[in-house]
Amino acid sequence: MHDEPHEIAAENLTYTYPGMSRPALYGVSHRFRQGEFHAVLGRNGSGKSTLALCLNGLITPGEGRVLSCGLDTSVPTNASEIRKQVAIVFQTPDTRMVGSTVEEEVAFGPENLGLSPLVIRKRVDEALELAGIEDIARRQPQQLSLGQKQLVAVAGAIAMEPSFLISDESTSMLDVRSRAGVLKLFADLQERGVGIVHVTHFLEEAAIADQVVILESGRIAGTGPPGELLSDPTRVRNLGLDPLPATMVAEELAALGHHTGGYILTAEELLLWSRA
Amino acid sequence: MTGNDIAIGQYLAVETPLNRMDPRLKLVMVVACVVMVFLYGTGWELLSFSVLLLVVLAATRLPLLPVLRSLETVWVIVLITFLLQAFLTPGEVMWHWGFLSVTDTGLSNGITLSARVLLLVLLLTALTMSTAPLDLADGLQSLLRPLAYLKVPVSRVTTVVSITLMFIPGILEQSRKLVKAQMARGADFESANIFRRVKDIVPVLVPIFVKVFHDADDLALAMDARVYDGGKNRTRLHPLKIGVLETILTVLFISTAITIKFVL
Ligand SMILES: Nc1ncnc2c1ncn2[C@@H]1O[C@H](COP(=O)(O)OP(=O)(O)OP(=O)(O)O)[C@@H](O)[C@H]1O
Ligand SMILES: [Mg+2]
Repeated sequence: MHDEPHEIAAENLTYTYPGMSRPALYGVSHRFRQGEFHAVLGRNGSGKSTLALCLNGLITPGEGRVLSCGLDTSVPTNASEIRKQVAIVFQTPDTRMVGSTVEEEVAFGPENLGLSPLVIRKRVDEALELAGIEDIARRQPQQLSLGQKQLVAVAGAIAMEPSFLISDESTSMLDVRSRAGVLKLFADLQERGVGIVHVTHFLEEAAIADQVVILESGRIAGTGPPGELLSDPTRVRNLGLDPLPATMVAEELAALGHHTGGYILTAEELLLWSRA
Repeated sequence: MTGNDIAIGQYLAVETPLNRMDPRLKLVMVVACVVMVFLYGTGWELLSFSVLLLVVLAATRLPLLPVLRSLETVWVIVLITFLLQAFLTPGEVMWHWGFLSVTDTGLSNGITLSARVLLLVLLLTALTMSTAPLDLADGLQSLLRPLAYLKVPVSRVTTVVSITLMFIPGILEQSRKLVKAQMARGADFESANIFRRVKDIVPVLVPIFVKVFHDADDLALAMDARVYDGGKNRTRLHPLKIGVLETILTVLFISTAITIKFVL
C-alpha cells in the first residue's frame, strides 16, 4: 500500500455502541500521520478508547468513515491488511493475553502473519529488547504485574512491525523508568516512520507530541500543537488534569502582572522567558 | 505451589514429558480414550483402564493432585447420574424404600456411567493442564485441516475452541472466588436443602457469566487485532513436530486401551 497516503484519516466519524442512545464519538475528524506522534487527551468516558478501536477497524463507524492507510475500515475485506498496518495496545492488557509464555505472547502476531520461525525469532527478540523485558521472556503472562503486562502488550504490538501504533494508555501502570523507556521507544519508532497515536492522562506525555487531540463527550474539543493547547490552564483543568508545573508558575506570574506571552510548558521555556 | 493455587483445567507450565508431547498426538490419544471409555461395557474394563490411565499420568509426573481435584467440581453431576440410573432402571429389586427401589442393573449402570463421566473429566483435565491453549488450537487446526475441503468451517471451530479453552480456567476461578465471596456474606452452599442451595447459587452464576462473556469478547477482539483468523496461515516460533518415540508410546497406549476391551 505504498502508493496510498500514509495516514489514518477519521472523517466525520460517529460511533454509537449497540443499545446506547448517545453516540460515544460524534463527528470526529482528524488526520493521524505516519512519522508523527499524536496524543489523545480527554476525561474518563470521553471516547478515547472508542476512537482507538475505530482507527484499526475493530469497530466500524455508524456515520462518516475511517481511512487507514487509504483503506476504508468499513469494508470487511480490508480488515486483515488494516490490522497488519495498524497495531493496537489495549487499555486493559490482562484479559487479552493468549500465549503461555511472554515470548509466545509476543510471537502471536508475527505467527499469524505466516512468517518463518527465524524471522519470528528475530522480531520477538527485538521487540522484547526494545520494551526492556528480555528478562521475563520465559515467564507466564498471567503471573506478571499489570505494568509488566503492559510492556508485553507493547512488545506484542511492535513485533507486528506496523505503520501505525495505537497505544491506549499503555503507560498508565508503569513506573517512571519504564514509562520513560516506552516513550523513548515511541520516539525511536517515530524516527523510523511509524505513526504513534498515544492515549494518555499524563500531560507531560502529551506535551512532547507533535499534535494533541482533545476529546470531550465524544467530540473533538481542540486539536493543535501541545504548546498552544496545553499552556492554557483553564483548558487543562477542564480535562480533569493539573496544568504542568511550569504552566502553573506562569499562571501565578501572570496573576502578579508578569505576562509571559508565549506558551509555557517546561521549566526551560520559563527560564528562557525570565532571561529575556 | 500447592494444589489449591492452581485453577482447574488451567495449563500448567511444568516440564513433563506430557507437556512436551505434540498436541496432535495428545488430541488423538484423548479422542481414542473417549471412544474406548464408551465402548467398555463392564466395571472391570473401566477399572483396568482407570488404573492404566492413572499409572501413565503418574509416570509422566504431571502433578496429579490438581488433575484429581477437577473431579471435585463434577461430583454433583456424577451423583445425580448415579442416583437416576440406580433408581430408575428396571431389573431385579435389591433394596427399596417406599416407592423408590434400587435394582441390580440400575446399580451397575449407575457405577459404569459415573465412572465414564469421571474418566472423561480426568482425560480432558489432563489434556488442558498439559497443553497450552494455543498449541491445542493449532493442533486441532492441523488435524481438522482436511475437513476444510468438505466446507467445514475449521478456522471458526478452532477459534471458538481456543477461546473456550482459554476461558475454562477463568470461569472456574471466578466461580470459586464468587462462591467464597457469597459465603462470606452468609450464603449456604453446603446446605442439605437443595432449594436453598440453588437459590444461593443463581445470584453467583449471573455475574460470573456476565464477566466471562465480557472477557471472552475482549480476548476475541485482541486476537482479531493481531490478525488471528483461526490459524489458517499461522506459522509458529516453535513449530509443532511429532517425534518418533512419542508416536510409538501413543500407539502403545491406545493398543493397550483396546486390548483391555478384548481381554477382559
Ligand atoms: N462496550 C460498550 N458498550 C456500551 N457503551 C460503551 C462501551 N464502551 C464504552 N462505552 C461508553 O462510551 C463512552 C466512551 O467510552 P470510552 O471507553 O471510549 O472512554 P475513554 O475516553 O476511553 O475513557 P477512559 O479514560 O476511562 O478510558 C462512555 O460513555 C462509555 O460509557
Ligand atoms: Mg479508555
